[in-house]
Amino acid sequence: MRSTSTALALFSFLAALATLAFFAASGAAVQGDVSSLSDEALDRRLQSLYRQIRCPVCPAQPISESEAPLSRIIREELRTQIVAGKSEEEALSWLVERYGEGVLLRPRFASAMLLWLAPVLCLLVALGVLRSYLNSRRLR
Amino acid sequence: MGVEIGHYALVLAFCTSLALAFLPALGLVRGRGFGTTFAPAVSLARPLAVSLCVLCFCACAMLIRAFRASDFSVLLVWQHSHSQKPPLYKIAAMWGNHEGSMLLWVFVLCLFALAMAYSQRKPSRLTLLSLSVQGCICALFLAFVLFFSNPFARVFPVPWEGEGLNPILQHPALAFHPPLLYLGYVGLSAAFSTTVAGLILDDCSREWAQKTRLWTLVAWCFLGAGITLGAFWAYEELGWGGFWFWDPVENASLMPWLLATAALHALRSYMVRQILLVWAVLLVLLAFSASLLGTFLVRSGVLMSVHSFASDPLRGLVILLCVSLLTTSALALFAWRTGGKNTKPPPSALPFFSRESAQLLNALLLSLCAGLVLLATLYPLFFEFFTNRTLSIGPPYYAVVLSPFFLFLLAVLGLLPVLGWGGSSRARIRRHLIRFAPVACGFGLAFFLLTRTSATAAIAAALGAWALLGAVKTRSAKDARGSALVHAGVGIVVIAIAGASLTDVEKFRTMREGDRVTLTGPLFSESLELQELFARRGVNYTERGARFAFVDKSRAMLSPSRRVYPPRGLETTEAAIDRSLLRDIYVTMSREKTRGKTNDSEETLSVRVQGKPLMFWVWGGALVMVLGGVLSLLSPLVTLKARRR
Amino acid sequence: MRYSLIPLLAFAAVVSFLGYFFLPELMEGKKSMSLRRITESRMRATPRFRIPALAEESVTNMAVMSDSVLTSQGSPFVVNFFASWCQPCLAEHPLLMELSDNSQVSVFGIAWRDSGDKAQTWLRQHGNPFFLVGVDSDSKAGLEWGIAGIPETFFLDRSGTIRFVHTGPLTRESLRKGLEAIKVNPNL
Repeated sequence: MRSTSTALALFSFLAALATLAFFAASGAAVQGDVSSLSDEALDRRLQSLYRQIRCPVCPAQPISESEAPLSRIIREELRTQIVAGKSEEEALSWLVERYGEGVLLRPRFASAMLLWLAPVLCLLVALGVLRSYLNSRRLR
Repeated sequence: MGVEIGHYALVLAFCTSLALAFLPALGLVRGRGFGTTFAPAVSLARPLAVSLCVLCFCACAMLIRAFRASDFSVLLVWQHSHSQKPPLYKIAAMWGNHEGSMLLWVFVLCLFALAMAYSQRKPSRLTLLSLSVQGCICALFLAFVLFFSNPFARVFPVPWEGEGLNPILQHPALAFHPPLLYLGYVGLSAAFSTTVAGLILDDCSREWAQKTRLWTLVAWCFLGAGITLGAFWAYEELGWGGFWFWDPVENASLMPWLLATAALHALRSYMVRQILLVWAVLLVLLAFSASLLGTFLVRSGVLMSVHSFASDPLRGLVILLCVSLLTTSALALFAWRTGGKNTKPPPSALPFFSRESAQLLNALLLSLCAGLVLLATLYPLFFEFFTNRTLSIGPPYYAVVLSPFFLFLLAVLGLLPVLGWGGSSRARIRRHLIRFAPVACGFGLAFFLLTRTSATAAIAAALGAWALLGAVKTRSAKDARGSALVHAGVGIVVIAIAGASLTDVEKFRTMREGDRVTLTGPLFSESLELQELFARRGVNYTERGARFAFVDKSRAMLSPSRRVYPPRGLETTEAAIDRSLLRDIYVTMSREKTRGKTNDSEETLSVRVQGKPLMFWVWGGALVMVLGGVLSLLSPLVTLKARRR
Repeated sequence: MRYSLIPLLAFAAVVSFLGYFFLPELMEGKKSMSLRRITESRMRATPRFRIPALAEESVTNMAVMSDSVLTSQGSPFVVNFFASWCQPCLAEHPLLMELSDNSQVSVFGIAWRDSGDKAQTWLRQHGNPFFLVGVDSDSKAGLEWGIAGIPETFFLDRSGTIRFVHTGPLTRESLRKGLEAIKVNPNL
């Protein structure tokens, strides 16, 4: 790493890579055959699905935590659908069609582009500012 | 009668604050050569600050007295208290509503004014002007309280009984949470006033930096403690097992904390190396502005939350006006004074791996995080307004979006021991990496293997360990021990969150008496047996619960229950928590009760059992952070003289 | 370029937006936009569903209620979700009885999470404003409609598009708004 710019470039590249990996790891929709899963594993996967859905009648709870009757009904319906072979994306779309996008706790990219692009922009801005600051100090 | 005295005290306090706002400032101007007409006003500053504080205290005391005595002729007491409430909660009810908490807010402002007045043996120009600014802020908010949310309003005819008996709010943590939080939130005003005064005087140098650092640090400690206490209460009381929900009100307290942290780092950089002055000034201003904006968001009813107060659009608009007035004038002053300003650059070129770079990165990323939190909090509002569709933004979004920033910062934190001012030797960095990176990676790997759940948890744990190691290794001068402790706390909290939130295990079961449930997680495996179901009457509730015993009899029994409070049929979940250093076991009963066909022995219970690894360390780590802050306060302040290299 | 102006401008923008957002509320006294039910502003076609109906309680003696039944009758219609165990439903019942007299609109009812017998008894006891009553005991229809709780009333226009939803017991005001949304004169 001979110069500031190289270091910065390498760092930005790693940062971008790490961010993408992170997004991918945590955002990955779970696909695949459910019938091979044990009860426990299925429960776990369903819980992670439930955590993404907001209870329509509660002020601020995901359906994984809420005890409202409607939450239970939605949980059971989603469970039926997943066990029957639907993917998580399909089940969520089904729900969104009936309850609106507000039912998702993680907004979809298409509806909230600014929200998803903002962090990336922020990171770029931060690196840009850092770069200009460091460079400004080099010229004396 | 006491209530009227309180009201009168508040009016007097308003007048005093106006005097405080103008007199010392005038004294400074006139005394400089236009004659000595107002010079004596300068000596009034301290007495004014003292009387302001005393009057505010009087007002608060009278209100608390009304609550303690259950004087239902006061509207506030009627709405938010009840004669059956235990004394502590009657007092806590004073700040459990909008008007009362606003009065507390103002009192903390006055308290900090007093502290500022006595912070030096002989108040300097900077201090006097900051007192004036603080007086302005007090006056503004006292006017708001007096004209738009008077806590002393009476109600007639006097009701027999109060209406406020929400049992969820009767918890010691919640009783102390608002005062602590306000000491933090509102305490940032002292730093704000000092900075505005410095900008007006065009004199942001050593004295300014020391004072601002002091006030920001004090506020930071209180804010951290307040936020932690709030999360702790949520964990204990709400029965969901979570402690942070990215609720707008929680975000409103997090944003000032993030900005204050960034400000502290920038201030330190300035004091040691005279860099980042502009950033330091801006961040201090933004931190208090975030507090103000947060206050607005919480009290205006713009955003709905489990915590929000009842709202009124006129009141919200007025708060918005107060907030905008203060913030825009401060930021305009900032733009005016710092256009074209440059601090002395260090004598040599700055490489990427240097402390300066790390400090700037820290300041930038933390403020950007605060900005993102603000964006996400307000976005549903924008969206609904413009497209007439709704949108929800919850934990899944925040976790994904904020994590990369925090993880980068953790990575930098771990490198801190080898990052020097002006650059660091490649060899040192390489050695540090070779020694410690494998340990951190090994820790992460062990985490992953033990829990087998998520790679993100392992990454977070590894980086937390990395930061912890870096903090522990920091061989620093006396005045940096506090910060090393705080950084260690950060590492601990990250590891604990990786455990408790990302690798928790849970089971839902329907159980009968005698049934057992086994929960297996990383480093623990517990079996619980449902021993008996019970129903009883408490002081003001009926309770239905179950007793669980640990099969290996190693720990105390757990008794989750559900309580119903008669006046309004309010039902609450009481979770049973078994704490240990390695894990928390969290047991709750669900609402439905299924009864068998004929006899009670057939009664079943729907139970949720959660195992949260390392949950204790979330609180432990947060406590370490606050202690580190306190230690920093007590350490001798870094002076530019001592640190010149 | 004066970067130091950025914080001021950004803050001013946020504050003006929030202020702008407030003024209409203040002027009209509208309720805050938050915590609106999340489906309120979605227009969509009649949800597809099929549930048994209480033949004895219906005007036409039909045994099944489905979306095609609702849309095929050609006029604007109102669908009200209720249950025999629901207290607020009783509160809004007189309004529904009044509405059933309005010849421009057909009123349908769906008993949610309720048994046919209980719903029938309740209607016989309190009056039956419904042209047809469906029984949705397992909440399948409820989910299709995106129901959040009961009572809930959907107002659909002639073509079967949902134009207005009201959650909670009907008030005269909300009834008026709903009927206007589906172009029905409330005063008949």
